[in-house]
Amino acid sequence: MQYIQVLKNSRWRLIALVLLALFFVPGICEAAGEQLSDGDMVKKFIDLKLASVLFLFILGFLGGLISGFIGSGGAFVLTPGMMSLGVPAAIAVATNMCHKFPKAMVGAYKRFKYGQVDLKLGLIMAVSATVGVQIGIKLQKLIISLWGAAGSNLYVSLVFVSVLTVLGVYMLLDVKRSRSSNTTVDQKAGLAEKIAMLNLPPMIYFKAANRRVSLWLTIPVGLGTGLLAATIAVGGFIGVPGMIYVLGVPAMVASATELVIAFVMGMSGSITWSMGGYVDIRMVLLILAGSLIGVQLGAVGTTYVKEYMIKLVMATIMIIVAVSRGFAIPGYLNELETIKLGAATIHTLNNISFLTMCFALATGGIIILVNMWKGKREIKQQEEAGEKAQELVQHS
Amino acid sequence: MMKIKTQNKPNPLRNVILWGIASLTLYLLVFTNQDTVMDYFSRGGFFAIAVIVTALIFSFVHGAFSNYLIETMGFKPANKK
Repeated sequence: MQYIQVLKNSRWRLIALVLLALFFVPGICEAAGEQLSDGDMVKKFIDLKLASVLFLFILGFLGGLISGFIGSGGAFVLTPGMMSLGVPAAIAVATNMCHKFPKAMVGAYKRFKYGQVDLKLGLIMAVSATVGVQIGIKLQKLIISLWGAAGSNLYVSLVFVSVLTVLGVYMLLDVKRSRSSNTTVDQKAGLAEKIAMLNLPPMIYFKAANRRVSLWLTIPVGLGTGLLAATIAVGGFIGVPGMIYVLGVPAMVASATELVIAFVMGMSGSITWSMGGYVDIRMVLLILAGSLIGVQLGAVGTTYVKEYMIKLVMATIMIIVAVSRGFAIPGYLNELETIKLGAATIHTLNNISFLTMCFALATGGIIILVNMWKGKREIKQQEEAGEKAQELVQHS
Repeated sequence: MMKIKTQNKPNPLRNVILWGIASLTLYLLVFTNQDTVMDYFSRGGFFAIAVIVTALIFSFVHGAFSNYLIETMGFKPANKK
């Protein structure tokens, strides 16, 4: 009975959840994001030139800015970005993972201060995402054994393109609705309202999100997040829309809570990769130099904009990234001998794919910065108008 | 005698400079000794702790610098109601 009383205390419940998450650490450890074959496990560190340093700083800043604003999405370009500098795949994945957890931690802390983080939801999602990662890894191993590496890459790309396109378009339509209704507060998704009627115990109340949701609803969203994280390294592209449209969490809280999930998964992944000695700490620190500025700027940015802006930025990035991945598909089809293409054509398509990813990052960054600037100007104008009104009252 | 209370107003610019120096020092320490750092940090096993702790220290110091830098640039959280 005493134990039940202790568990009724919310603080102890949180501690129990953290312990449960830690129990799953060996599981999360494999959440490397990208699948690597034994041949990719090369441990070689590159010499860093000034151009590489600047490149990593800028990528870090833009990735951080987007992560701070929408909760995730900055990491997808970093692994291919590092590989374009000649970094072996394992080092790139490990380094990306190791920069992710401090960035997510700083972003989550910042947004927690603004009252946007639902810690309980984040931890529950992180645990179920762990299981999702495991399922994703098993699924991919099965595909590799059936159709080889090219088949796996093709599967990843098809998942990538279809999931991101469908969710991106759905979110854009939702943004259009929100804009036309011209409300500052997020509109509750119709689907979430219907799902919320499902009164399947245990029901959990999420304070920051102000929602009472069945645990059985949070689990599939977490599983989906993990599944996508294991497949395309960006679980947030499922996690955030899932929290918004399935659990009915406001976009502001969903994007902030995603940072908690990213922290838990990034931390455990980093422990595994650094135990193998694959983390290039110099590159981690260079990316962090930019991303810690970006993530905090992005977090502050959420207080300047209307809720639908988070959805708009996310949807825009998702759709451009889907297009980018689409450019890689002909290469995999060529490897599977479904179509025949020249080496030069494949090389060009891969370059276009990477540049499109960079374009997605830059577009997201520009939208955030422009809207922050506008929001800041509006606030300044309101303050000036308030001061003038006060002066007039005093004079009269 | 009346006591005059002096309010210590936080000075973001001073904080930017102080945390900036601290952050720069840490970066210089790592990059001027990068061969030694990479030798130990890539050994794996027990040295994983060094990787995690380093990432945490930098996130604290450089994070504080970034926070004050953003504030100095005028980006403070807006109180939306």
